[in-house]
Amino acid sequence: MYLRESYSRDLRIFDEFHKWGWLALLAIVLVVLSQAGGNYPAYMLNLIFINVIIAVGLNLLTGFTGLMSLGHAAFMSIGAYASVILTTKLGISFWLALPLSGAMAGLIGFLVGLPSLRLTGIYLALATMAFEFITDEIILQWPALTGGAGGLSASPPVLGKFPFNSYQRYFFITFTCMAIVLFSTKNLLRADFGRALMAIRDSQTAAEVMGIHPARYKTLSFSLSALYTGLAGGLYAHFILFISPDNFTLLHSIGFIVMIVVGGLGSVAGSVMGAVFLTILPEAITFGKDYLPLALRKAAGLQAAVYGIVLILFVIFEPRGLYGRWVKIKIWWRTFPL
Amino acid sequence: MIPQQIISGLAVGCVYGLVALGFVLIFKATEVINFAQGEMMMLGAFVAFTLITMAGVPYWIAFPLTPLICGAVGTSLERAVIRPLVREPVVSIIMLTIGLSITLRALAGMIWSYDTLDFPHVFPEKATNILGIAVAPIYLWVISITAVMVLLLYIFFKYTTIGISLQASAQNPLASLLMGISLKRVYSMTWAISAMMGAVAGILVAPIAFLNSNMGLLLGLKAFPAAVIGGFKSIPGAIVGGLIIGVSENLAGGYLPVGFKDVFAYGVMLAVLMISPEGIFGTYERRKRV
Amino acid sequence: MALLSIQDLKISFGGIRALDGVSLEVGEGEIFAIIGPNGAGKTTIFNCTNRFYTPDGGRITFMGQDLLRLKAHEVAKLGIARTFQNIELFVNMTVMENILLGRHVFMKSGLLAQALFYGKALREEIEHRRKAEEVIDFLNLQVHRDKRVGSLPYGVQKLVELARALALNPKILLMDEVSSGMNLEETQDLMIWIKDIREDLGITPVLVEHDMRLVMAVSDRIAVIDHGRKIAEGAPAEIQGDREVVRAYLGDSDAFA
Repeated sequence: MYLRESYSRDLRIFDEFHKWGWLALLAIVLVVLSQAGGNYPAYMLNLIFINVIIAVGLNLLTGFTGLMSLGHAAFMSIGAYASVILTTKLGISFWLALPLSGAMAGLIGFLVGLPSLRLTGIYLALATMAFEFITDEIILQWPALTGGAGGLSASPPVLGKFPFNSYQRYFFITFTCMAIVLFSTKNLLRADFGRALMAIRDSQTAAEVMGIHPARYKTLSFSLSALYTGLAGGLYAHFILFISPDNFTLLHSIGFIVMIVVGGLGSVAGSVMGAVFLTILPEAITFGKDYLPLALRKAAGLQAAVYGIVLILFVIFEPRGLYGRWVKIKIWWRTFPL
Repeated sequence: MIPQQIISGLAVGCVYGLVALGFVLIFKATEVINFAQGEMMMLGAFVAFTLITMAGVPYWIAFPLTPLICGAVGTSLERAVIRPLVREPVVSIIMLTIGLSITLRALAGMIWSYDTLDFPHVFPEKATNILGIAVAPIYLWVISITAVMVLLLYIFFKYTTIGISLQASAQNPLASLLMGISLKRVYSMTWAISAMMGAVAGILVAPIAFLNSNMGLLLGLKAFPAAVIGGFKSIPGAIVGGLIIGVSENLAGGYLPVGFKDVFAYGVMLAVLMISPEGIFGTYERRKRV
Repeated sequence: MALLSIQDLKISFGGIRALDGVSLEVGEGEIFAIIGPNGAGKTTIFNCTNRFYTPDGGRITFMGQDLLRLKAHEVAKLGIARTFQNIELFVNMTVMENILLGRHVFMKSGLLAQALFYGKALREEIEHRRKAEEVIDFLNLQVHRDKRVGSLPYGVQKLVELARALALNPKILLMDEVSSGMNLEETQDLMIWIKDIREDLGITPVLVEHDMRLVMAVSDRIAVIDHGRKIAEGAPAEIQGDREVVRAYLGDSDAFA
């Protein structure tokens, strides 16, 4: 039985101190795995961390504020392209370009957030979808800036004389960024800002009565969400070292939504779970293909079909996502009559 | 050139309108946003294609047969996937139909491959002359069929018992239940009709545009701008919206840089959403709050 | 000067005149009740005061300030709190979090401070949790502190909504049918609480109510609204005997004459 003896204990991220120990252990395991496990784990971990940042960003907007977005791949592409253009064409250092591209995405996020003040539900989803299409097209049709369909190449970031030109080395960049994003988001959510967002989600009427300025918080939520996603885009660009419009389509936006639905809307831990799940899924499909009948194995749409079915199944059977299931398991474990 | 563009725009607009119609129908009756509506269109086109090319069924039989098949598919989808979630928040339902659309698209890709297939050309290529303008017969076919469908739908809603009960349950589900209208039957019917509308749209558009598993994404999603412009809950609005999109898209294509024609419809939708979300025929009600 | 002054309030909804020139004055410290048949427009008065609606005509002033120039979320800062007829709680949050939202107007930490949390934001959180606890103690909600509001019984939910409004430290509290759904015991507790709200917390309660026992027991003054118009106003005793009031509630039958 855990007794809280002071308000600050109420507010902790982990209610019991030893949980930080487990987290530290996990971090050590991840570091070892990335450095010593070969290229494949290092690659996957980088990708997972980038996806976590995106999932947290999108969940902030959709899970916590209740605003739907079908256009988050566009924010990612803005961050990615901005980062590459700033480093390659303007010679700005990666360490400055990355936050700048995040900020740029955040600014555009603010603008995209403005319609959200008048639009709700499906209308907002459609507006973000339109934003996605239009952004994709602009990138495609501006070869001078973006390389058009041909894409852009990026170079690995350097710190002094030290190039981050391997998955193992890049791991530390993505890990640190993810940690910062997770920590700051968790903080925002346990403070007034997070509560205000959730208030808007649960009852905008009551939120206004409590003095919450809906416009301010909705646009802030959009900006922050876009900023995180843009950041992820920049990280992604300098990770795979080549970006093209194909990397950021409506289907990717939908993939992000799958992440947070599967992981759990309105939960940071859920976002992490969802990101891990979605990153590993294609690998699992490739792996599991061999066990399927020949006809299915060769099918071109297999991965997409699995995505779709997973989304459907989760929405119907696990509306609270993996995190919700985890919470239920914990409760079941705790109340087990033995 | 311009009259031609208008005619072909009208024809494509009819297709958008039909898909939008199916979409608005479902939304009006059940408040469900069906993101998979474009895939209904895609399925119709592929089913017709398979019937004609592989089963050797003549076009004139495949044309009415396909909507029936697709209607059955639509109803089964509704029963299996949608009905469990009728009272869930909007977000869940949107996700669900998005999942549905992904799955359907992937299944189509698996069955028919992702290549662009050639829909059999049933209509003469030579343009006929109407009022001095050269019009391809297929366009005439599309426009007239759409008009017929809209008329049929109108008669159905206004004069048949089922149609009236559909309207009733759209306006007040609880009261309709109390009047003995089976909501389950209504939902199934609605999805069946929408699927049929989509299927007809698919058969009509395949010869003029293209036929591949991504049709739903590229063409079908334009039902949304059509529905938004026409007013989200308005059935005539859906058709009008579709026509507006079809024509303006074509005309704009001549003036915009290459590629922007594809997103023009979404730009228009965005503008409408910002200025007047209720569209042309939608109504603005002063929402009663608590 | 009256605390809340409503003058000649008019508003229509699509052709229906919801309010047709209603005037009320609530003095500081008095328990004021607004009663009337269903659909009379009582909640609409509150909704205009909260600025959810913009009336077609009339004035609303609070402590001399013109409310009609403000937006809905600016009203809270002036010290006007509200509870709703059909509960508008934040169902996915705990009781404590709901009440803490009542303290929103007092939270001063900026976004960055909150993102870093340790330091200014933490101190603020602790301070306001203390204040929230005071409200919880006042309404005996200790047991439910950390429970998700959506899982609580209706009567408790109503109290949570009241607690949230009190956390705002308001000068005036608009309570819309607080007693609906409450049983006899809960209503009796409510009567005591309304009086305590006035005595101990110095808040002016304004009630829209249907429960006549409650209204007659606690109110200093009552206004009766019917079909968007005020048909009577005065002390409880006066209202009870008023012919117009009886007619409004019970109809025109001569059996009651």
